[in-house]
Amino acid sequence: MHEVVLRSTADACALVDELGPGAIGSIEVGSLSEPTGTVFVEGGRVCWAAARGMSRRLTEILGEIAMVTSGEMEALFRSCKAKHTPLGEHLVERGVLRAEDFREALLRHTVESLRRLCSADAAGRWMPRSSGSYCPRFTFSTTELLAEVGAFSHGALGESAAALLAEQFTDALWSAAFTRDPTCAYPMPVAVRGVPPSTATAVLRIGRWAATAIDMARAYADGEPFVCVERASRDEPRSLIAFHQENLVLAGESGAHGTARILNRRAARRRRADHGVV
Amino acid sequence: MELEHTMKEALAARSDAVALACMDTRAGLLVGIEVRGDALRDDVELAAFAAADLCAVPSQGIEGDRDECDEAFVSSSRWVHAYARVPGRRELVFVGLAPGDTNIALLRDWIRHVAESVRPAA
Repeated sequence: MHEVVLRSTADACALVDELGPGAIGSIEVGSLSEPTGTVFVEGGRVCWAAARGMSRRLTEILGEIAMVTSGEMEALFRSCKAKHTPLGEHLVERGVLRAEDFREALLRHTVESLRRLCSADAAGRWMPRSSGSYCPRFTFSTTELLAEVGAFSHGALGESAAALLAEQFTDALWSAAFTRDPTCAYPMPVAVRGVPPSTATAVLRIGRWAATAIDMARAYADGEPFVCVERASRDEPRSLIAFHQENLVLAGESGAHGTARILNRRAARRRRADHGVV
Repeated sequence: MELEHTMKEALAARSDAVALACMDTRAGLLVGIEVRGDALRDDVELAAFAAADLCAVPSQGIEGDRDECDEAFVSSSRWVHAYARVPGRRELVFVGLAPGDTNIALLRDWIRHVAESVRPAA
């Protein structure tokens, strides 16, 4: 049985990416005699993660999001358990919770579980299954998960990064904000926008590229350099863009107009700063 | 000698550009540099040495390779650096430098034409 060390959620995401889009099964975390949890995978996406000691956490999150008191939630939980009905789907069917809120709750729970499961001595073993059972709508790409983990770990930074991406990359195909944490070996995504590459592996690679390109350009270009590299495409020209703003490495992919808009905004910002206008 | 002549002519033809360099990204050699005005030769060299890294992006697959790109540019408040690979001699990358208020699209057009002008004959 193949074992992989899962030091961080990035390692867990990399394992799911390596398994590929056809993978169906689970990653069993911990030793055979002492399992600590399971990550369920279908179609190269994470469906759900369960960690020891967190069995009631999803119920708590669902209660917070649905604004249901703990007593009411407990009653709903018991009723669902008796009928063998999944709680979240029951809440959606009864109109207590919107489907997107249910998805948000699942994402938050999966992120919290992954953070608990991954540690310096955590080992994961892939256990394939022949068929899947999760609704694709309620599954998560590794990119989405890793960005959520980054946002969760860095608190308010995730929200400000999301606002910055919305302001700067209005016409981009996708964009991502990374933070450079001295305790982390790679720039960590804290927000994504649009449709980024679906694998965390690809997004982490872009984060590393962006940080390196900016550092390299700083050696000879004054101020904050804006790096734009044209990517070969059969359709319209597409560019990978990287720049630094508010202590974040921002990267994204855009057509010609998107790049021009960002440059224009940066020039306007510089002009305002030169004239002392905030 | 021919490259030096081409570069001198190209720089002379573009009034807003202040430097032009050519880098062999495979050998890691600066094969030509022309500078005028207030451009710092050291900075132009550094920009040329960064060509191999700046004219490449991570590949989109799971494997960690890089894809070479035809063009790139770096814009900062004082300078714009435009890069272009030579068609048919992809290891050669030209970098042109102009002040920060230059028209980036025109500078990119120029450096593309410079790169195309040294394309090997078919």
